[in-house]
Amino acid sequence: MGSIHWNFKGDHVLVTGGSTGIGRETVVKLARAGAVVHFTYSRSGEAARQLVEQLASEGHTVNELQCDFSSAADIQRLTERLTDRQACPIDMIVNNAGVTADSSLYNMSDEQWDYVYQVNLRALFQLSRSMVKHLAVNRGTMVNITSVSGQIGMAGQANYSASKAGIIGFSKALAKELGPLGVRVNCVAPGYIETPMTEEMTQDRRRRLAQSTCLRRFGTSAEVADLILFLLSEHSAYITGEVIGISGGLV
Amino acid sequence: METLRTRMIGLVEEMTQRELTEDALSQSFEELGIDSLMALELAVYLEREFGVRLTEEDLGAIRHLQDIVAIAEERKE
Repeated sequence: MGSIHWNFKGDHVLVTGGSTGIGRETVVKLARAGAVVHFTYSRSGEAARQLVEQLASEGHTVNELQCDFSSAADIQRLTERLTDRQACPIDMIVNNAGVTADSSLYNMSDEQWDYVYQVNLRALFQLSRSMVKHLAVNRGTMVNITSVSGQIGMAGQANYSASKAGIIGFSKALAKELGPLGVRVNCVAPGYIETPMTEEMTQDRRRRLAQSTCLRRFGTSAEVADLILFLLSEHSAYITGEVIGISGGLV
Repeated sequence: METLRTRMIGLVEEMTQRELTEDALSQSFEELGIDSLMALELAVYLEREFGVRLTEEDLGAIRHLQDIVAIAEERKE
């Protein structure tokens, strides 16, 4: 299967959590499609630098920004840097940064709850709030990465599922707020995808989970990235406030 | 600058579906029925059409239509 020919020349895109997994694949595809890409990373500094070097050697413009979304100071520093960038205005945002801290509910600590909620949802609110006018002026687009966990719930992930469901409500509200100004906001809801997050699972668990999908396999980051690029692009000009699933039929 | 003032009043008329006069400039957002979403829309319009940049802090501090016009006139010059 040939790859889709995307064109993002002249666009400035921010991808949070861009050094690994779905975020990394999105950064690569956007850069190769001509976009100027700014991506954040938290702890994967080495992976981030390698990614920048790789894409720069291909002639693309990519900048990495360190930001731990569990830190209020980091978020403030990031938003100050981004809103100062008058010379390279961000007109598209992919809110992808996310974490898990799984546990049975009876065993879940306040810290596990707060950590996941902070990174997955509160940081999304804080970053979006600082960028909202900027995005509106540029008639931009936003794609927020939620999860099937936020739609159907996953055992052992009450915190993660709740935060991902929150992203859906947040995105739908924002789509209504910003639609009249020409800004589109959509969600992508991946199921089981080959990423560092799912690599930690045992082979046996991965096999069982793959069997629970219609297509009997995990998806790839590249497949999710193509959906993200579609929702960022003009090809989806009449789509907003939607949650598009990409789960191989996880029913 | 008359254009800017007239356009701002025109925009508020469209948003609130009310006919307004120049006196509207001295009225508060509350009196004019402008909520925070409409205020954002005004700020976005100013930046798109007149290149005037209002910060989020400006938006939070503005209470009267003439405040937004004053900032716009000052920054446009």
